[in-house]
Amino acid sequence: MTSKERDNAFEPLARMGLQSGPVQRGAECADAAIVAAFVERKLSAAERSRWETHFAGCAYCTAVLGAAARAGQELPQPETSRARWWAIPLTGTIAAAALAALFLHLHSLTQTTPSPAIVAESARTDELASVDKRAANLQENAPATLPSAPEMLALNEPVAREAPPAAPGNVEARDAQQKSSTSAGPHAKADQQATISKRAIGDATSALERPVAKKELYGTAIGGAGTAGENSLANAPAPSSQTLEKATGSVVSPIEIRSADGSGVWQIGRGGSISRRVATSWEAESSGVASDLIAGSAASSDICWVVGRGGVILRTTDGEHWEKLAPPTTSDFAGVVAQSATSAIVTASDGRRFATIDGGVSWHPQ
Amino acid sequence: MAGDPFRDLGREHADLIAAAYARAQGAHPDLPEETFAEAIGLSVRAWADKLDAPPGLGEIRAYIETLHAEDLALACLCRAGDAPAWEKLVTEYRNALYAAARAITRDEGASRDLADELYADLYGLAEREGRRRSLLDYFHGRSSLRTWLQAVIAQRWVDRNRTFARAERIAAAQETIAATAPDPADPSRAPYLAAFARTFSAAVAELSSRDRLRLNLYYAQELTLKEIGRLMNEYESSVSRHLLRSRKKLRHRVEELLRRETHLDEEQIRLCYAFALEWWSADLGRFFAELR
Repeated sequence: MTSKERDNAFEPLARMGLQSGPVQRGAECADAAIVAAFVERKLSAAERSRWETHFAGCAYCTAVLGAAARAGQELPQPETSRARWWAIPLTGTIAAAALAALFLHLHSLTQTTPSPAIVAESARTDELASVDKRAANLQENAPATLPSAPEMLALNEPVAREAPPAAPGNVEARDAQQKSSTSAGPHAKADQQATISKRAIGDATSALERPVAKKELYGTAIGGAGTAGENSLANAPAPSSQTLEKATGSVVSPIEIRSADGSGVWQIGRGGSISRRVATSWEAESSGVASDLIAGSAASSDICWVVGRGGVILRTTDGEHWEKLAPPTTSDFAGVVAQSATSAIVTASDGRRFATIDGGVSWHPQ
Repeated sequence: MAGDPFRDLGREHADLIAAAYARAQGAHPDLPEETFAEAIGLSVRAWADKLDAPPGLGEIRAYIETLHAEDLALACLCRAGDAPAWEKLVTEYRNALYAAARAITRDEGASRDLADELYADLYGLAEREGRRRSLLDYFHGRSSLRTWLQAVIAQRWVDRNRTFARAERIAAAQETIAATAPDPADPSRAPYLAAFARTFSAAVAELSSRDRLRLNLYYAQELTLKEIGRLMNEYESSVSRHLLRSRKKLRHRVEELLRRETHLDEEQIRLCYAFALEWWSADLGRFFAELR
């Protein structure tokens, strides 16, 4: 087993291992004021160090931080080092150059001559149309809600992927596929169960197991605590992936994404699976999501954008590590056209299109 | 208040409190100065209570200087039942709250429930000792009101989400299965699983706090590199680099422990990975049976 293969094999174990752990709120956990001060970097160095140590070992506080990070759309940017005196004219020059580049870039977007990335994408138009149709079928026949990635991952859903089908005549890749198929029996079985969410367990609604005093949650106030009664969510069971396949009558087969010069090739598919072709073999990559991936577009051998169900937009800028971007909508996406690491247009399954020129920080309806 | 280390706060820091009041009064001219000064006093006490050591004079001054005076003033007026203040809170923050709840829950219905319930608690529906109790009693101006409300929503969502509580039961179920139900096809599997679980926990514990937090935010909370960077005050590229390094370090340490303490060879380590992955990913039905 090569070091890379070991890393890939270890990746899902790290993911699942780090998701387990006690999640009960403790007396030492941070209240809302501390969490907010941490997010805004208002804590002193000593406080920050202390609370980082606590957060690192506390699944509850990490969960709160994670939710707060998602909720905060205007978190402060990382602080840079103190500005040097020579940075001022340099900054002005850079700003002018950036504005000029932005103008030229925006101008190029309106040009009728497509870039090589778009030309490469146009070759997939038919495939994209069929994916659009499949996505529309999926949407039509799919249940009202699908389990979200956190719900599935919380049940230790496997991240291991099946190897993509080998190209004809490619003995090494076929061997790799056979080997992974041999060992992927339980993975395939688990894959079919992958979409069983907490709703499939038939989680009954009930109050919290331990009422939490408001002081613990929110800190010191004038006076004491109030009631902590909470209404849990009533969840209907969601179907397994087998039911979904029966309902749609089709299985989302892997989709190949290729850069214009052919040097960057990825395959995407069900359950957030992504693989990249390296030499003559396919290497699984971690997408970080469990949603079905529907379409992709490679701007270069290292830059690739992928979209999928539930508002999933992923991007890699090094060909290997995938980052989930904040989407303009949580609807399913059916297509994407990427020009660069920062510019792309995504198409939702309802036909709406959104463009970004800042790497997904902001989206503009088209 | 006897023994109160901050009883002279108003006198010692009168200039800073006056400056903060001036900032607050610009947006809220109806705010009584005494009420605001009292709120600052409570804020300082709440902050100092959580410190390991009493703050010095300089620290107190720095704390007061960086308070969000306008937000604190708005909270004071809302607590007092000031109608225009409450209207301002609703009109300026409601959409942001709904957006925050949607971002967390990814569910329109759940997000509205969460946000509406929070508003009810902010208004203060419960009464104690003749006084309406508001969630705003717990806001002290150290962060902006917006970020504080987002943190409150985040806490409420985590508390509601039974998935987290279930993870604990799944972990318990896994232990039960590993200990009592060896695979008939391979009875030696259990020792591999036990060895892996032990070495993984040990290796995670050896990571630095920042590395552990970063890994948890990425794997357990599925934050983007950008979101992690903003929380940790790092650039995305740094986050990516640190994650890669930490994961490699974790793997190498797990394998080192497996070789050194359990005396496994390379093939056995590979089996460890395969068994652990199957154990965690397969047989979900057995886990569910344990939970019922």
